[in-house]
Amino acid sequence: MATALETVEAYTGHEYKYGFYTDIETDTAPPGLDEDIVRFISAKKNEPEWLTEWRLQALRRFRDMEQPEWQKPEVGEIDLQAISYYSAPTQKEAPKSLDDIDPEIRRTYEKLGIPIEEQKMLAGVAVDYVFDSVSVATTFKAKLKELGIIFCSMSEAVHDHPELVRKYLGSVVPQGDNYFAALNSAVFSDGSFVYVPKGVRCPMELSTYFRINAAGTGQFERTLIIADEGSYVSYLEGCTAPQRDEHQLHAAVVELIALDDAEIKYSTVQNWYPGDHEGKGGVYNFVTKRGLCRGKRSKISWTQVETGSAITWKYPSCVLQGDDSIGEFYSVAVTNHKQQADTGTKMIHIGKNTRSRIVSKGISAGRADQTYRGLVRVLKGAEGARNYTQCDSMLIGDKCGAHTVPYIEVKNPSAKVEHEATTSKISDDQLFYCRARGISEEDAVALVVNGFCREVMDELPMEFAVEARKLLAISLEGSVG
Amino acid sequence: MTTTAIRRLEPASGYALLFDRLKGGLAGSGAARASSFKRFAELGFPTTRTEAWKYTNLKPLAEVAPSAPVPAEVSLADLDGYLLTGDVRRLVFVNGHLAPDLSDIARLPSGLRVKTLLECVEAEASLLADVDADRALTALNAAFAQGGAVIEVEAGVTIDPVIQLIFVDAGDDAAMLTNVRNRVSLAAGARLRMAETHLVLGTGSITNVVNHFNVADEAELLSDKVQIGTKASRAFGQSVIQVGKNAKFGQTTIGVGGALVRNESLAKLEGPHGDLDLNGTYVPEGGEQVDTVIRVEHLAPNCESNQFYKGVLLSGGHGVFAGKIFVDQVAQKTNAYQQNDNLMLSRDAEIDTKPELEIYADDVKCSHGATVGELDETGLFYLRSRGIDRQTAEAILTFAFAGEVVERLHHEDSQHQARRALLGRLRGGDKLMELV
Amino acid sequence: MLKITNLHARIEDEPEGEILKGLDLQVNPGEVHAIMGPNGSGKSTLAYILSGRDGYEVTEGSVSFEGDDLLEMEPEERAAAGVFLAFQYPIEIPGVANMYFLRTALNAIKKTRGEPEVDAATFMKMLRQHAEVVGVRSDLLKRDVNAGFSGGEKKRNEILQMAILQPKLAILDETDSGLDIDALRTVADGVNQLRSPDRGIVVITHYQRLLDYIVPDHVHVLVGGKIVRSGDKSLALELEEKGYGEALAAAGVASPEPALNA
Repeated sequence: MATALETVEAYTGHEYKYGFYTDIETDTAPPGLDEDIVRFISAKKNEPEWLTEWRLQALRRFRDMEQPEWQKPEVGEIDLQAISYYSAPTQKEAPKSLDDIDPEIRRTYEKLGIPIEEQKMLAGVAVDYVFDSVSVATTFKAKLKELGIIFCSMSEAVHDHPELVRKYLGSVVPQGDNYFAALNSAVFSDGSFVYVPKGVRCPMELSTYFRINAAGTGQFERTLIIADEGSYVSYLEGCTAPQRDEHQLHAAVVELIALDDAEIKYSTVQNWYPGDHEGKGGVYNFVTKRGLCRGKRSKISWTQVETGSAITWKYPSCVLQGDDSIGEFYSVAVTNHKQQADTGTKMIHIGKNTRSRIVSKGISAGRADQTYRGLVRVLKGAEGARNYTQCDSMLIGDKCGAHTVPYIEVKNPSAKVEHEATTSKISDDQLFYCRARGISEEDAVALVVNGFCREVMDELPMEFAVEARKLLAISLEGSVG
Repeated sequence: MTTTAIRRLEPASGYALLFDRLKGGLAGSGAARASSFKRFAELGFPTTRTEAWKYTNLKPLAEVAPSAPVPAEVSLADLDGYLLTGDVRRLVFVNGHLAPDLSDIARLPSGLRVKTLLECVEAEASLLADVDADRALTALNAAFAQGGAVIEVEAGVTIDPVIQLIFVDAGDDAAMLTNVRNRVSLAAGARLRMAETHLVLGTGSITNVVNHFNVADEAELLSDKVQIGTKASRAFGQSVIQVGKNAKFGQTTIGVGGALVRNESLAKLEGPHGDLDLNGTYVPEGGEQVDTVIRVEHLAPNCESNQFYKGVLLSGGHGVFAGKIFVDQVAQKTNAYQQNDNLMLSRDAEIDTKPELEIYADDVKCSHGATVGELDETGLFYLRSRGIDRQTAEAILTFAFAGEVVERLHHEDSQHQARRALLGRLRGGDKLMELV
Repeated sequence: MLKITNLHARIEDEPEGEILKGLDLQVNPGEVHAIMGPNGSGKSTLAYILSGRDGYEVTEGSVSFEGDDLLEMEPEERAAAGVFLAFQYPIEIPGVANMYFLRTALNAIKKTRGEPEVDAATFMKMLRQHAEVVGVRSDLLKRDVNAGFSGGEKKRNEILQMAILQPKLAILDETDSGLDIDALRTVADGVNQLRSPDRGIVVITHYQRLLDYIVPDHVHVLVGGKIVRSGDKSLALELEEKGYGEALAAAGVASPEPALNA
């Protein structure tokens, strides 16, 4: 197991390890947003008529909306006409097998440490590779197919499983849910699609690796995961982008649906390019993630480790509709330099005896600003609802900020809701103790921070917990001394 | 853009009509009054799209045609049960105007000055200055306020008598708008205890209070606040509190009754080692809504602040708590706590609570907690196993829950008033009256 | 190996209060030195200065460790060089498992020294062995560093760390405080096991009690920031009997200075 120590040493001198750019030929749409571009995307993907219409309807809704401004991070008006809404590696034909993939793309993923070869992959993880707007590869497809599990790109699902896509797309996050979700609904490019049939326990982690490559593009992927009755799936997404001076927009939508007795575990290790130390460049990460516990005794669990992006607005939520359903949210967010993050969750208790648990650990360093924003809503019919929220912030240095904004709305007297929050710093005593045992100051910070976050890290699938720990250490480089 | 439209409720024409009618008789600078009213009209009332008013709909207030305060007959007997006993000086305002017969500020100890706003406003225009420029109700208050007290304590003086300010709204016009503004200033090292009593005796009214407390270095001000409303009354209050070096401000608020009651506090700890203590309890029922909105700003190092609020939500009651701790970058070694506990006793009650932290200093201890729950069944069972009927057992436990706040009122009579008012609300509470 | 010459030091923000006022001490390999003194004499200050804690300022004098200027080194460099301080009040680090902490420390030190790191299996074996000797229960190895440990457990944990890190110079700051007689014995056994011809040990204590179990070669009396008397183990017994009064008087100090770093 790699220690925080090795990690920091391994990356000394690297600011953002994933900041390279892959020079390949791409099909890129001209910048701008109108009906024609939506039709262009839909036509490029050879979509059925109903989906083109669905996109156009979303675009019309979007036009009636305004860029939100209630969040803590301040961001100017984003010029959506300056962005290109479609960029894909040029390909004569779709690759028939993993061997047909453009060698440049293959090299990109190798450099990112996730080679597109099943034998080289982490054991027991199937990966969907999304490059700019399109999915370029999916591993272990055949093996999963034997179990009836569908794991493919959204574009493929539209063609191969239209009935499922049509039934569930937009059923959790409607087209007009919010400004960026509406934009995504109109122009979404690709993403992952997962369907786990009744009673099947998915034997491996499913994973998507998102990479923004082309300049001046946005990434608008759409992910849809359906866990049918009594099934289980664990899914992980990872993300990186090249280092660029201008901001890049990432506005994804993720919809999860868990039917009776089903469980979905969704983990994110987000490491989009955060911009430089002065706040130049970096990804705007404005995503809508929502899970619907539609069935009885269903469970949706979000775990996120957020270290990247210039600005993050993200509230992975659970709608607890089925009786006895469970929603969980475990989050570690690290902001350093001039990063800003406004993140948290919403737990909407509708069914009886629904339970939710929120554990949020925020670490702010440098001149960064971070907000936990959470909502726990218990509706009238949610007899016996329970929520427990623990929200801890840690500040490193006196130029950063930490904010906690929980909303608790209760309309049922049998509900029990508890919220606790603390703010603290790494004590000098702890650092000295570690150093007196031979651990350098920077490693000592990483060690104490990892301890502070352990409750959340323990929720991550094993393979990614190690990577996540490294990320924490790297994100905090230069935050002391 | 439409953003402003959805964040602003146009006040009904009645507000302007009322101002035109009354402006000739308002004390102080006519120009200042007019400019305050203009400011109010421009701001308009906030909508639920404004974060601070997310859970509170002011549409009914915006649509009202407010009427002018009228003289009313109120006797000391009407105030029975609300007059503090012992060494007390008091000012009573009825419908926003001083009632000299009910007031008693003779024999003031030296070092204490107690005047009415009316007496002072000509000479001191700053009394009506905007303490919060963006708040429409504060501008409205600045335009109309005639009633209220100006209290000053000289440096180093400890005042023995308790100063009680009683504000009575009487009459059967629920659209009557009274505006009251108080200013309490303690010079360095001064000490004062006071009580604010707000009583609605008639059908109801719209009360709009603005308080400014200035507690200079080493000074200490303790204040009890008891608010008694009716099913139709609406009460809005804003307190701006400034606390100096080594100074202390403590206030406990007990509110019972009122269709809509909103208490806003903006407290600033401006000097090192300041101490702030804000407590309160609310017990809304039957369509009532009580809002508690607090912003505590730590602007200097080594200060301590505590917020302790408890809500009892009865049938049809709606409680809102929004408390914020703000810690400035310079405010190292801050200790700030906030607790909001709510007891939900009915299926058709609602509580919205938002305990918030905004922190820019790293060497601080800040924590907050919020809970929502019902009465503890084990506790109920224990009482019942000792022969107490369920209703009484519920009343006892509820009373005990709120009692932790009541205990923080500094004057024994205030505690007594609060206990009676609380028990009057609880089913089975009458049986416990003899206990208080 | 350790040579302290005319050491003067004070707490950084308190220019008036000089705590060490010309301290001299030499520790050679294989020796066990006991530094005894009343509260406020500067015992803990000495321990912290040797290990490099922030907040103290050396105004005069020097400290060399194996020929290098110890005061110029960062705390972690001192640890790598072989200086170990057993804390009087060990620090809690929530969320970090005790054994993970120890392995991180060990490998950090090894890496600095250019030695190969210890793999997980070897480390576990080593850890279990030592833990048994110093009486640290195996569940404490998995728990967070010092979090929720009793006073005795914390002190044993310090000795365990010492056993694993194998320092050249170990400084034990009031390791006996808060220990019952059984724990005292176990801790002392742990320390005695580490006695070796190439290791120096400095035991800082208020009472003679610990020295019944860790028998020192040299005893020094620290009063008013200076060593006022030195002798063999019999000096400790003498102090036990007569108290510090005589030593204080000899130093021209009427009563102990207030405890500055209790």
